[in-house]
Amino acid sequence: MALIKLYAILRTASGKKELTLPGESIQEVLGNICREYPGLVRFLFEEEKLRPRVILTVNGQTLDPATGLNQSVSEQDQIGIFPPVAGG
Amino acid sequence: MTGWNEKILDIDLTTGSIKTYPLDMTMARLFVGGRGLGVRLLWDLVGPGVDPLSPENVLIFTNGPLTGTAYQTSNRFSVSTKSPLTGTILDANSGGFWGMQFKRTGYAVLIVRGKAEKPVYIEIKDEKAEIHDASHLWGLHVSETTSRLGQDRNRRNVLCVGPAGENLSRIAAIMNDGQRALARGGPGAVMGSKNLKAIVVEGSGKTEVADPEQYKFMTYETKKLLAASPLTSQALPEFGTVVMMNLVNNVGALATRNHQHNMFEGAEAISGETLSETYLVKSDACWACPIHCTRISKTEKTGEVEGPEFQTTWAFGAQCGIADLEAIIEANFLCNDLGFDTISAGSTIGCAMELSERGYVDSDLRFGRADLLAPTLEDMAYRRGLGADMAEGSWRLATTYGAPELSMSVKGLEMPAYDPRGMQGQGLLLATSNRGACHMRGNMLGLEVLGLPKLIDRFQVQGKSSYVILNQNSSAAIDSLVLCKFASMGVADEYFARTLTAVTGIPYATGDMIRVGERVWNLERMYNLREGFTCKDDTLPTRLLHEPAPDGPTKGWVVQLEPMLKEYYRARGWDSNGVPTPKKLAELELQEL
Amino acid sequence: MIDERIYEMFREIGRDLYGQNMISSHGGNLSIRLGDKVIIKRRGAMLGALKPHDLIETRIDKNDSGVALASTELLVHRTVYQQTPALAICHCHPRTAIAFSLSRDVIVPIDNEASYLLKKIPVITEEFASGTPQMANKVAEALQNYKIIMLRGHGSFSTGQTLDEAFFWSSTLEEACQIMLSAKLINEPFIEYRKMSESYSKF
Repeated sequence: MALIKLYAILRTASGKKELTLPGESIQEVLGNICREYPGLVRFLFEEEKLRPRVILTVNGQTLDPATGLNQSVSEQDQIGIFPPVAGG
Repeated sequence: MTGWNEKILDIDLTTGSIKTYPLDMTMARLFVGGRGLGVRLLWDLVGPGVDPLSPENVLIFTNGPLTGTAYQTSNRFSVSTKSPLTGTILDANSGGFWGMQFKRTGYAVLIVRGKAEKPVYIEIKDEKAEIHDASHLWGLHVSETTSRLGQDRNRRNVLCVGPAGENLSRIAAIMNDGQRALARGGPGAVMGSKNLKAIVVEGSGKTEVADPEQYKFMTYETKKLLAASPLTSQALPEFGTVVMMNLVNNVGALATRNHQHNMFEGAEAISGETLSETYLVKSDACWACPIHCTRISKTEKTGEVEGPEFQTTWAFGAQCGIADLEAIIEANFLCNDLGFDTISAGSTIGCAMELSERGYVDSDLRFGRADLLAPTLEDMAYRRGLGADMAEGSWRLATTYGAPELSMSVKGLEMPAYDPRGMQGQGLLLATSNRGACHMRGNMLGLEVLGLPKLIDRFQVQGKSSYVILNQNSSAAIDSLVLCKFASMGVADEYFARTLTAVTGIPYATGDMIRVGERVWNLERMYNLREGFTCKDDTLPTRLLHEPAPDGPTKGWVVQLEPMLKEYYRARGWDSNGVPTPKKLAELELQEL
Repeated sequence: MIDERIYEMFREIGRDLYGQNMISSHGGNLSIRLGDKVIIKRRGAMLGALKPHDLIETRIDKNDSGVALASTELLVHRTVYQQTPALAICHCHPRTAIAFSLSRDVIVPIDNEASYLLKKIPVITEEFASGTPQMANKVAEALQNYKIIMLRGHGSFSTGQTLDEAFFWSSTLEEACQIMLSAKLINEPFIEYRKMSESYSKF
């Protein structure tokens, strides 16, 4: 069970800052998040694919969604999920 | 040609003379407006060796052909001068309403020269300009000055300096509409040195458009694009720029405690999410902008005030080791009211904190002392005690007390929030920005962190220079139109080029518009070289080049500047000393300069 | 030394171009700009099956030893990098787009995605063969203002900040043309669904 931290609109939409959910891979974790919090689906996915510019970090390292979704997840991992955000 | 106001207003405060003459339209075609026009005029008007705080320095306010058209974000305007903080070219741009009103007066450019004998303010009503006595305003805070001079949202707008600028702090800002700033590089001190308290504008002119059909189409498409982008339609309006705090911290690129660390344990407490839950009242916007990134926050001490922005929250937050959001909102308000650049002010305080903790300076300042922010800012504005040294900025402060390496600045300008040990491209950008360490002159945040347009490896070094150069050129172009860079988070450059074409009637291909940016960049470079800057000044603080980042995902990294810089000079068409070659200057039609 | 990740990016996009019938076995080209260098396909290499030694690094502004090995289309790519802000170029032969380019000077998509993203695609003509300065300059000039253009009867040139952005435009164009072809076959009156669509051809 990895620690998942939610940010920006994902917090407002789910009412949570942090979750712990099971999952062997990032893809699985994301699937579990959507099952538990269906309100987040529209912010994260577009036609089954991860929305462009959703930012996934694992222990601070940004994942390339094209290749990183199969990355395996361990108990010590901290996953960060940011919806598309911007600033100066 | 349409779009441009074709007149320059030239005021000499020494003699009191007020002149108007035509804008050189060949120059306008090449440099467009805003930052571009500003640097071109500054090149002629302020030669090498001029003391920025002397009457020989000049303030050049510019708008552009798009300003005031009501195209999305067409509210911005620019000031160009020689920086009292860095000695480089200074251009700064600001939003709000003043720029739009300035365009309505009928002028493209306002040049202010010399020095008034006693405090004055300038009032421009359509094409009529007058110099008035301002002795009853000198010493007043920005908010008081702004309301006394009749600030009225869409109809009459005030630009002024506060006590910081009056007292010639080198990190003083020029404030417009009460809470918007022309800040980096200390233009407030230049204005203060001229005994110029304020400039008030009131106008009724309208900007004509050459091709109304095409212009209407561009506005419609831009509306669709901004609404479709989650950045401009959700993230910014809902959370403001402070939404960056958690993300930048998460990847280990949040400079902390004067860049001693690259992650801040208090990031969550000062994040956009926390602001939304606590002190945020509502969002707001500049004129003609649908993005609404402005925050309106409320605390007991300040009441309802504008801000804070990400950089400000970082500067008084992580950089000072402070996790008290309320204190930060108050500090931001004080900066607006006294007239300070928030990044430089916060980072200078952070520098003073480290100097103090290490025993270079005898003061109470310590990281985490949120209670000292407000009194320190007051001391800086009025030059009391250590505040007198701090008002000079972190470089002069640290040098005075024997530790120049503890100023986190480039060419004297304090660095922004991004610790470049976690973003190599950003490091190259900060080292090469023409006005000193500046992220707003080509921010690599998009490519290295946000995935906009696509995520590239932030630790990669080879090939970074091409991205940095494109970003620098493109943002210089946007600064010359003059538009807001947040518009470019949803809208591609090709739309801006077509809008510029539709407004002016002059065909600017996308590449032509970006070339305007490249031209501006190279001229700024030439200006700095003429002032005596060399490639040795394209560097970063020693800490970032030699002390490995201690925290999290960025741990162990330093900025590998040298290979990036070498590649950058070649890719820009400059020689190995970073001097634009004659061939490059000719290509950009700069050869006579 | 060309970074492994760069090779992977070329290989994947090359494979997708071939797989989507956008190139023949040895046709098309991909390049990126890295600082003052260009990385481009080796002459005679197959984009659909790139090996690490199939990528050549050479200078943007003048010839060096890389030139002997680089694709004959190097000149076009170099010219585009010198004259436009492009950082990546995709050149391919999208079949339906080529067919449409034979009978019109501008391709104006009718589907939602391509009208939103591309608006219009100019068609230019240049008889001179690949690798000549005439062709290079004409292509570069057109790419000053459009991110993807068609060379009549030949193929598309598209640019981007990254290679996959350039590929994205090419793929979108071919999809748009296939949709237009299907609509022509269906041959029923077009129900306009896009506001201000009459302006697309003037983009």
